[in-house]
Amino acid sequence: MSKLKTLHAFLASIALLGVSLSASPSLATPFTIAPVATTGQAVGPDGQTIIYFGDDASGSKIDVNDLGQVAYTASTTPVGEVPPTGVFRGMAGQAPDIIAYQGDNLGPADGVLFVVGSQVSINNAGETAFTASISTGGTFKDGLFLGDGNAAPAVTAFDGQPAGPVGDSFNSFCRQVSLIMERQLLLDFLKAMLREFSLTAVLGRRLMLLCRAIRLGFLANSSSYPFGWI
Amino acid sequence: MNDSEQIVFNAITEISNGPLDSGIFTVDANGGPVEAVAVEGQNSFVTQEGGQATLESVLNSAPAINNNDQITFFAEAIFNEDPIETLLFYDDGLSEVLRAGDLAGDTGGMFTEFFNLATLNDNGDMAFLASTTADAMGNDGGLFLTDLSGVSHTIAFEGDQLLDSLGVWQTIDSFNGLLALSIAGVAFGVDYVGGGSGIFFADFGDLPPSEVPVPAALPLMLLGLGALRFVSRRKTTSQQKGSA
Repeated sequence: MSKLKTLHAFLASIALLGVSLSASPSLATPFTIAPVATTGQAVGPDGQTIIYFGDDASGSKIDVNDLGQVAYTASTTPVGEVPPTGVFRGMAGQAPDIIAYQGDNLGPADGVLFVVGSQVSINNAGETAFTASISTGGTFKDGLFLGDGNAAPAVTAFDGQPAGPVGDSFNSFCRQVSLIMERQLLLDFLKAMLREFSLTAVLGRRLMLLCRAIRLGFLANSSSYPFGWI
Repeated sequence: MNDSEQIVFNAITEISNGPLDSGIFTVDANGGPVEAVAVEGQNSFVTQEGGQATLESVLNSAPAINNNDQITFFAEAIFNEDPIETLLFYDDGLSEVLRAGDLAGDTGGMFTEFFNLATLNDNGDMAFLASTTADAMGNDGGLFLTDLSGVSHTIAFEGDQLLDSLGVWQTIDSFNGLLALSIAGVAFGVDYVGGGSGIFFADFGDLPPSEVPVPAALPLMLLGLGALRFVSRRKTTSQQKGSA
């Protein structure tokens, strides 16, 4: 009988705890962790699987929007010296979307995506921006691209493009930026530049604003906080 | 950069051909001067204890800004002449969030070192990767969430098991530096024990992280255990009386 009472007391204490767990928000599990993508998972257009995330050389990033959609880059099979890369959009419990994949044909004028993926950013519309190189008639250009997973990515900025109010053209776009900016600053600016836009036109404007910001940085040489390394 | 095109960045400065200093700066992409948020040696901030500490360095620190123009970044700061890695928060003034030596979430250990990537969402939550004093299994790296209160919560820790996209349970070997934060939750990358890696999403649900008082469960559990012990003691006592 006493054993039964002990059991009842135990069950009562568990029930007390259980009721509290479900009734009090403060005791609810704070984080639910769900998978977005994993190595070995098929993500490519022909079932290519992820070998590793990012492209190692660039220290690539991921981004997440307010809906929980995650943009990431990955290198896929076939395993080789330079495995094909892609930009993907994933969400817990859903199959990944291909935003861009190496070899995507962007049309005769814009060429073929050559190396995809280093910096990525996703907005609340699920549009994903990324940096990449394209091959056009045997020449390569660095650029910024925008994809939504429904159509081939659009080129938004590239080498040789007029750089808006700055008055010059982008000459080796990414390298041009890296020449005048410390690497960390470059990453910050790229990330900043890529975030939050929703339209290609807006991105173009952001690029112009970026150039302006860079110039402001140079102008700051005469301020009380002159920049030394940018 | 936030929606109003305020850009925050880290740069090295040089004053009148003097020593190089690291600093965190902002600039309005639509025009306006570059403004200093914090420059090493020139800024002090309010500590958790209400005192003052001096900023020593923000070298290699990647700052973050949200749509409220709040900024967060990691820095080395001088507390009582000792340099300590610190997470700082800027909102019309610089203040400390937490530092190395503080309790690391619910790991039972303390922060020892921070990965210099700061993240900040519009709710003022900050997610970060950090090393801690090792647990019994030797694990010492984790992903944490905090807010201006400085109370941190463990999102994931080395040795934790996660179900990957292929339905396989994987054990976290380490965090690989992939990290992003929004008001919905945290996306992060891990390397698995035995090889391979994955990206996961920790959903905040409807709860602001600051309202996750995990220790609040403790009194209830103790109450239950206490009740058990009380019943057990009563039983023992009555049995002893009966046999006497």
